[in-house]
Amino acid sequence: MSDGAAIVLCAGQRVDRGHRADFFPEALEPVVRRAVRARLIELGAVIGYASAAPGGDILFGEALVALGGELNLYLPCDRADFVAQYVAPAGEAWVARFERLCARAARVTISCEENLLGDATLVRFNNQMLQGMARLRGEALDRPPHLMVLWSAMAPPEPGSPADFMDQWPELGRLSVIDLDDLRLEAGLAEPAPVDPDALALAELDAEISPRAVRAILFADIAAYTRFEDRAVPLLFDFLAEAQQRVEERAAAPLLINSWGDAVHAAAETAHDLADYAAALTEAVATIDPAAFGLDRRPRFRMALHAGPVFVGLHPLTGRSMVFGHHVNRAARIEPLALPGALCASQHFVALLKAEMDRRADEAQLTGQVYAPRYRIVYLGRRDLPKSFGSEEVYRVVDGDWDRDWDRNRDGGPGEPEDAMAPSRMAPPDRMQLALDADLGEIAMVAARVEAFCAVHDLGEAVVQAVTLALDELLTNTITYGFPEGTGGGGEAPWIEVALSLAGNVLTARIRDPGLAFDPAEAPAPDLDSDVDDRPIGGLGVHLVREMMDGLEYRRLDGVNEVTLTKRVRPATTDGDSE
Amino acid sequence: MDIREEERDGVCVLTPVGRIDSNTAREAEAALLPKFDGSRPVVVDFTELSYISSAGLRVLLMAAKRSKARGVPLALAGMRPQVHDVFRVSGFAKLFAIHDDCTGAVGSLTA
Repeated sequence: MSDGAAIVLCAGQRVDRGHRADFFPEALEPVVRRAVRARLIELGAVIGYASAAPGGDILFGEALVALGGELNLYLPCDRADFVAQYVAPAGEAWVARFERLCARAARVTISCEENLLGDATLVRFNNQMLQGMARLRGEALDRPPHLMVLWSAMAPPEPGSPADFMDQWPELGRLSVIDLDDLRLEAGLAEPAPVDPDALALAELDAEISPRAVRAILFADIAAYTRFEDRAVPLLFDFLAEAQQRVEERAAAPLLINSWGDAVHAAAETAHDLADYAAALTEAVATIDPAAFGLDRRPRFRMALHAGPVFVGLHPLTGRSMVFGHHVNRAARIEPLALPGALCASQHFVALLKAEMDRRADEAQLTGQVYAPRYRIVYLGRRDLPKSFGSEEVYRVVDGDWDRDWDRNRDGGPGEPEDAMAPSRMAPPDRMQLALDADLGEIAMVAARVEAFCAVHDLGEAVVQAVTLALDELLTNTITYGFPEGTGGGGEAPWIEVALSLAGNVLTARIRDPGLAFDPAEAPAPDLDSDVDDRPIGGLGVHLVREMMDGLEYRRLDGVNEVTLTKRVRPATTDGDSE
Repeated sequence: MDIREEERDGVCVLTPVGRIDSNTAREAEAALLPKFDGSRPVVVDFTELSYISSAGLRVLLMAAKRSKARGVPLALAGMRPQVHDVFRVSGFAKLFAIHDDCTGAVGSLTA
């Protein structure tokens, strides 16, 4: 059970405020503290995810930090509001403990930058974030997280309560229940006073009439839409009508969907539902032949997926259902970060998606069925959001049902048969994709990822060196010379994609960018300025790349440079069906 | 969710059909907890249950507390191997009287 690096989540019962019944009296604290600490030691907990309400949460956090663990705090609302609503009413001593714990935590994240407004939906969403982030961390470390609930059976199971968290947690095999009622009996304390039924009824009513709901949110638009000539726009909409037909066959309709011009905005109840819709639309747009509709260019959507508590209602001017609030605005700000043809998602969205896929996996395991998660979640990095929305941790959601990131630019029908490249669910991923800013500082990150990829497949140091050097040469050149106006060819923000894949004994590296057309094999040596760090790619540079790699090919398609490098390698373990 | 109820040898046997998860846990709770206001021992038969999540466990924990508080015995029976394993490995099996089948459970409560 305790084989180290366990990730533990906590759903803690709040200590009692004045007018509520005493489900967690302060006299019980020492006993609970000992029980929590003992359980953390038993589990081998090293990483914790929790909120920071006075009572169970803070006790958990303090215990974990005292054991030298890494604490990740998530707060359901604006921090000052959280203190005012939850911490201060429990007393000044708790405020001091809260501040101290925040200072010692590895990170403090706000799940929804609004005021609580007494809304339990925010607390439940915060628990969903805790769950999702712990699960993503668990996947990265190959250690599924464990939930510790500090629970009193007497406390009403309202949204956001420990009972509610337990209800949202599928895996009862990874659950610890610290029963406050039992501990209370053992400590010889009196039973909690009966709850005032009127107060309880009011609380339940409050929970039911929350103006907010948790929704998955999509913002999408067509890349370089303004470059479509006027005469092509009706043709474009015919093309989209065909796409819509295909989408309807493959995915459930979102709860709401609005569109103006080329922009699409949709909301769904679950992240998986919305991902299914977005994936169906992406695939449709990528596989329908644009020429059949008189278009000389394939339209591609930029799609951003986000999630959070939003206000739901009817738009006063249109009478149609709508969602609004901080998270809707945030979703719109994430959209410009998306790369055309790929699903770009926020941390909130992938947290929900991961938890939903895990739920399906748990069911399958208990009922003896086979389940393979449809989506792979790839971390891209932290990106700044426009208009002072701070920054966002951005991910790519890859559709395993149609894993076509490689062939995104090919027109027409399905790509090559993929038997040699079919990713096995159990083997380490045989492909890796990175999205970079046009910044020389990104090259170090690429080198690290290449090294990790090659290590996982046991390709050897020589391969790592060769690929890293080749990519370094090409990326330096692209970043330095490819975006002279600070923009890509179509007025987009500069971007570069690097993808690695391993099939049989061949390692392929592909670099794509929308910068100035540049064929590395043909380039003359550029003028050297005074900056000695510039590396000339002509002549010597290309020679090096050809030395390091076995194959170098270039093509330009849809305004995008594509350089493909190949190298023969010998992975330590080969499946029987290589080549 | 369908929850069948029958009496065997003076024991109330509840058989939930399908799944006890976050959607159906409230129904299970409404069916199970009031049984401890009565005098007959209670068996929950798992043979028709394909899936149980932590939400279902919470209902069982509350039932166990009621059972102890009211002095009305509770037993569980008929778990599939995967479900029984999860209960054992997680330690929750210790909190319940678990029998391989309904007959054994009923027998233990009427002995």
